[in-house]
Amino acid sequence: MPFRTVLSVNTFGLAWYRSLNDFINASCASDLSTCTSYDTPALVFSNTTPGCVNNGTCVSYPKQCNYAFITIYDGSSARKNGFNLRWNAFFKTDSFVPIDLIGPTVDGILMDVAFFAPGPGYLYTRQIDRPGSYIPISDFYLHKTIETSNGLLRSYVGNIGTMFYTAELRYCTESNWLIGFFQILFSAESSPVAVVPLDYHKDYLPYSELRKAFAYSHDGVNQFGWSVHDMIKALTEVFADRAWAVFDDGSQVLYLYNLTPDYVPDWLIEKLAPTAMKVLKAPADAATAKAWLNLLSQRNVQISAPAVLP
Amino acid sequence: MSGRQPPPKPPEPPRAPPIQPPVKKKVKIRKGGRWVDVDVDGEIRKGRFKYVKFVDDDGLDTYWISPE
Repeated sequence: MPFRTVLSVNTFGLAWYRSLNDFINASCASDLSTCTSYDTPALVFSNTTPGCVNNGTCVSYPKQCNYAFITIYDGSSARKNGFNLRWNAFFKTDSFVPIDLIGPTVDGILMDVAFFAPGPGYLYTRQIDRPGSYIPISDFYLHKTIETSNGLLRSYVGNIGTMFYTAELRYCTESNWLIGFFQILFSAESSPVAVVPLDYHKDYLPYSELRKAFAYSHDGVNQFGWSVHDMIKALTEVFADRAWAVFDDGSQVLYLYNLTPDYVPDWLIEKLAPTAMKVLKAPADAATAKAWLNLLSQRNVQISAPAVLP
Repeated sequence: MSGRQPPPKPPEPPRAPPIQPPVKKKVKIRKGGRWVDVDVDGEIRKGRFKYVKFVDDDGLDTYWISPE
């Protein structure tokens, strides 16, 4: 089976390729609410609505200690994949109090990124004042502290490799905002793949069910698994009225459900190069098959020309 | 006894030739490590590949990559 790796990146305020200097040199470094040129909305922690929310340069969350404000991995398909989480985040604090706790949690346990730095990582329990366990395979540290007239800028860099259940960002800090990026590298030795474009929010339950049964889907389109028959069985039960495809890379067969080859775009054929396509079920109506094709096309940047529909 | 001969039968109208099922094109495909003859129901082209359509042993409509 192929060993697959996928890098999933969450960026806040910056794109992953931006450096700390890009931010420090920006004219708005001292007051994020004046920024208009950042790549993605930054995170601002405030109990009132800051001005940057209105111009779309930030997203605000309430200042509430131990508040999980973003789930970057929901724990589905745990123990079926390998994970490596790393981050590079910049905080600004007005208080000069050296306590910043915006960190990822591992299975509900908060990782502190400030108390002990540089050095190996520590975990803290849900009661964040109580020391937790040492993780020998983690490595994160305070990269840089810069004093500005408006407070401290701190940059943290780190990574952890583990089979964790969940990863979320929790807030309990004097910082007013956060920019930076968090990356998760998922890996699994798995095949075949189901091609079933889904909206994580709209189709949460079936999406979650698939990811628990199969490997983690980083893009909500490609679901990797281990047995083509298991995948077809599960998909037939969960999505009896949808269109989907499963590609068995062992036999090079592309199975089509509620689809015919007419609806399969040429770029997907070029990408998978199936020896054969087998129609498990012809489309009950054209709308079902077209919906699959439309979703797939919207989510795939490789598409070059629209498919010719019957 | 009249000794008359029965009138000759009128000639039968010419019969239409029996309708033969269309002869399906046979194509050799590489399947399971062997060359197999299959009766093709059609052909489609997807990208740079050409597939022949037939009903496989599992009863499914199947499109197999054409060796041609």
